[in-house]
Amino acid sequence: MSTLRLVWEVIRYRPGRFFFCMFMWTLVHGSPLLFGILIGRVFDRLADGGSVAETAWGPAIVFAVLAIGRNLIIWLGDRVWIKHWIEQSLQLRRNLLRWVLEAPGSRVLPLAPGEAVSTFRDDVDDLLEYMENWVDMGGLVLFGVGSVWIMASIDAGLTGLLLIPILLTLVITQALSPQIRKRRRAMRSATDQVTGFIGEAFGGVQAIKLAAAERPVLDRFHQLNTVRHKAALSDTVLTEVLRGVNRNMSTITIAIVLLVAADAIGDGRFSIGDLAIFLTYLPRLTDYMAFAGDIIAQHRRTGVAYERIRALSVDAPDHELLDRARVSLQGDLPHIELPDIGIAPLRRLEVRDLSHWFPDGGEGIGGVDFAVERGSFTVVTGKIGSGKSTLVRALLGLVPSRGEVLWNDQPVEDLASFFVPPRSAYTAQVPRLFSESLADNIALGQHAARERLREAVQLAVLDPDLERLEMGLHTMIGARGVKLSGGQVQRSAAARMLATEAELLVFDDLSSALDIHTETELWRRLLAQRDVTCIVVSHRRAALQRADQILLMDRGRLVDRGTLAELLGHSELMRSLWAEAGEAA
Amino acid sequence: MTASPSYRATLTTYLGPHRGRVTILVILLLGSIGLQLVIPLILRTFIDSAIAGSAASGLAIAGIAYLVAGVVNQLLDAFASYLGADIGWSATNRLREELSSHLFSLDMGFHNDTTPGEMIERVDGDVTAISEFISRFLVRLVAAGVLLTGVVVVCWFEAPMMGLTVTIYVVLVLALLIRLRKLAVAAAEEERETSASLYGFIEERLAGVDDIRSLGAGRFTMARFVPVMRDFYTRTNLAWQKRIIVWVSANTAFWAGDALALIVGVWLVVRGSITAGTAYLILQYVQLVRRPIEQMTQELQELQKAAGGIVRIDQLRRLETSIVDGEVELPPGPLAIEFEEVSFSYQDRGVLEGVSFRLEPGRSLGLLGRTGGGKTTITRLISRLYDPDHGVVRVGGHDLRRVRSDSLRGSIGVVTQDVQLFRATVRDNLTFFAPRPDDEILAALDAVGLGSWIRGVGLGTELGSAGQGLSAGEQQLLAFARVFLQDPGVVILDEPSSRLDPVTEMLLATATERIYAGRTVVIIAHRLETVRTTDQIMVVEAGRIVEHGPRETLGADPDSRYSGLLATGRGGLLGDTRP
Repeated sequence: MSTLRLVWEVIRYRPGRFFFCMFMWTLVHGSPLLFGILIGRVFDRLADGGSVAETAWGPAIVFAVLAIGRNLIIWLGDRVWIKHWIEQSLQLRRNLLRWVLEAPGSRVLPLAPGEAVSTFRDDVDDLLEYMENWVDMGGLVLFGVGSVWIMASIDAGLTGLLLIPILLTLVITQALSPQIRKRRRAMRSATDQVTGFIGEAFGGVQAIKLAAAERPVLDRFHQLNTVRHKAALSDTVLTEVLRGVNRNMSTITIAIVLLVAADAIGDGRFSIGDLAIFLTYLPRLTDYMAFAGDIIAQHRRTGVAYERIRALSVDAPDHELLDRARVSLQGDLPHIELPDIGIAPLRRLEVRDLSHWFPDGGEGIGGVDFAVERGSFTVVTGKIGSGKSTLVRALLGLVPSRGEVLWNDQPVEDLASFFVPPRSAYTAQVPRLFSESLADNIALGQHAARERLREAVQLAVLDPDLERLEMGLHTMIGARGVKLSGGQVQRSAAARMLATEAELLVFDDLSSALDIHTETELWRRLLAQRDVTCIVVSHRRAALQRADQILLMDRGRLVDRGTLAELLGHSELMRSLWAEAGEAA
Repeated sequence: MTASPSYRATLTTYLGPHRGRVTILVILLLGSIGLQLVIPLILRTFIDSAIAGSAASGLAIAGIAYLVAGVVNQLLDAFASYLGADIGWSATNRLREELSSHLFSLDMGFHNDTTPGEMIERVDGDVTAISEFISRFLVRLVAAGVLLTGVVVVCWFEAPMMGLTVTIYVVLVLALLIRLRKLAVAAAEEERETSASLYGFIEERLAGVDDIRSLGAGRFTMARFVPVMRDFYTRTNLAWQKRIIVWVSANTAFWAGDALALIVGVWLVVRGSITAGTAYLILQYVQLVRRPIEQMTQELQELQKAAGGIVRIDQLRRLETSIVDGEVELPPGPLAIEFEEVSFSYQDRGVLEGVSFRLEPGRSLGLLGRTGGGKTTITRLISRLYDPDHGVVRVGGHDLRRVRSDSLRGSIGVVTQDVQLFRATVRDNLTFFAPRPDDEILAALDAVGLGSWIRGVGLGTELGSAGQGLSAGEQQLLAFARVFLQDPGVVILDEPSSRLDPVTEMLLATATERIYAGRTVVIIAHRLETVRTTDQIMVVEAGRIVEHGPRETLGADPDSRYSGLLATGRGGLLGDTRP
């Protein structure tokens, strides 16, 4: 999509507001044309002196009224524009987030969450800043054409001469302004380096003291400071150069006018008022040219910003990212219930020839076949890096895969959108919680789940913790759940999964944060109360002993399967894993 | 402790070393101010001469004067900005480094009470505020003040009515803007908070994208996003509307100034007090004072920010460490460690009570006991991160209070559980940024079994912050490599309590064995496995030694706590319930 097309699609969200603002800004940028003429009148009359001077009152007072009225227009226009900008920024952010969270297919974010946020923030802002230029565009053109026309009607030759430095401003600015951005970025990253280093150095001050490394660490700090110092100066230099170009061009144009007028005023071809008009227009015209130069530079950048937004979405079509559905800014909050997808209860799940490769060429999993019956307990085990987690993630469509998955003998088309509650639910190895109350984390906004909250908490062995938390289920758990211990996070995530009442439960290794007694208790409660089908990644005895079936993974392959007794009987690998599990217990 | 900031002291301390450049800066600024005052005067002369019908050549000279003055002024101004920034950064980078050096010298009591985030705020945030104060106070505030004064003086000189008008105008607008500025500051803070919560929401959900998608919670999350968006919309809108009011008010004041200049100009010309050229001069001057007025209001506010920074940094600089350096140099090779009736308390909480023991040179001691019992404190007293309240700690027979600290640091190597790694290369992480020959570094990595790994990826490999990309075991191995590089006679180890994968476990075991050779070793054990090779065992509970003796003797005595631990089994019983 071309950048102009893109801007048009963005504008179409609320074209009424956009064109209203454009109209207001055309007035704001165009009105200085009148100011020039009025100031010209005033000084023509003052120059004549005597009784004519007294008629200078008129244009002076008109100027006063217009100058103040113009600010009123700015204020009215800005009031609308601000609302429009914020709403539109939310529209684009909402579209992107919605695609990432809801779109079909598997989704692996191409960036770390921290970096991805900068696309949500900076790239969306870039896009809107560019759109903002188009609001100014009408006024810029009006003033540009109008002022040149007025000046040319006073002295065409002189005006022609002035166009050279004026256009030069445009050319130089558009060439230099990308450089400014680059240096700002260098400055920011140098600053990040410095603050990051201070944080690390004082975080590890004990290690530094113990190693008597104060001197070399300070030397390193000095190096980073120097880099930042240089980056800051380089930024200052370029900013000053740009400003210099702008201001000097303005000076040069006025000097040219003065030199030409020196001749022309004498023979009456050029009045003092004409001079005042030129002096009023020229600085503004060079300013606007610099602005236009910046717009040209932004035009190129905008395409890149949109590309980054698209890249983050991986595969969103333009009409999704630019969806014009209004952002809900007032009225009742949307009330959403789980759609009744009328599922067939799970009888049997079958996996055929499931494979996954990591994009960086790392080992994935290949050719895995197995089946799971209703009500059974399947444990996936193996050494670290054997592909256990990858297997369940591929099955659930969290990473792209090849092969076939059958639900009650029916092939599943899109794993990612199929394997959701009420069919299945999943707890990741490192589950993520959100900075809301514990109850909201477990129910995840689903009203139905709220009713099952107590039961889910009890099943997940989270009830003893609740007594110790000050506000119980209403405790705000902090960003990413920092106020909870590792085990509490793990159990909360389990409760979150159990609250969905899904048919198939997939646990990816609870052991890293649960002690052995808690894990045993969790399995006991879960299996005692519910007719559930479980797939569990684990190397703990507590899980292995309960398994109806164990899937033994090694280097990305399913190398063996069977009950614990069978595997201990014939698999050397299983025996060593079992022994290791004992060590841990 | 003074509560009021010492602006003058700050200026002389940090600008003193740059006296020469500061003088140049002042000259540049004065030159630029002079030219800014002169340029409108040139235009006035031009207009008046043109009306009087002067010769074209005279007018042309005014035109050329305008060009020269304009370009020179711009150059002076640009150079002044550059110089101001340069001086500001030189001065404050020095302040940052001095302050860090001072903070490093403070004892661990201070550092345990502060977070790295606070330190970033002090060493960078506050110092940056001071930098703004230094570079801007001179360049902007003073220059703006001089320029404003200049304009007012010239106007009074031209015509008293004109002087009066401009003076009243400047005072009124300054008062208005200073008042409005507060509104703008509140708005900016509000805005920062609001965006933090919007992007916080987004960041958390992106981090949990697997959880959300696998639980089919995408639509619910988007529904939850609605109130977040509404909050962002309402609050950002409010903040921006405030900001726009500030901006439009200032702009109205400035344009009203233009109108006032025109009207007063017309009035004075009609009365015959001034010429048309001088009327134009008023207009020019009123436009000229816009920028300094804006700068003054902005800088006055920066000044308040800097004041806080100056006071806080002053307080930090007054802090002194309670650990006083000694003079004795420790000999190389393994050294004896001796505690004599040592007691230590931290924040009024007793941590150690009358601890006495002796470890011969080259022998090893395993420390057992529950977390919080005092094991770590014993090791910190050996490396003199603290001094004991009572009793004496001796290393190599010398009271630590009499030993030179750099000599002590060179003689003791420490491996902690949480390995401190920097976002830097492997090389810098091992040497703490000090230069060391590559073959020595490689030899140290060979000793811990990471030699083949590092030859594959190179010493220049960047490690992420907090050792991102390395497992806990690998981080521990790097800490071991640091010790091999240092080659001290005494080593203190705090064994990792989390479970490691078997390969790393084996590498660690081998590395530990090598460390033992020819060194005095104290090791905090979380697993009994670890102390099976130490010469002595010491069990510490609630700040006291409850058992101490040769491992073999204790192991053979069925009543000892050690053999009790051996009999009941494994790591869990050592009391480390940490996940």
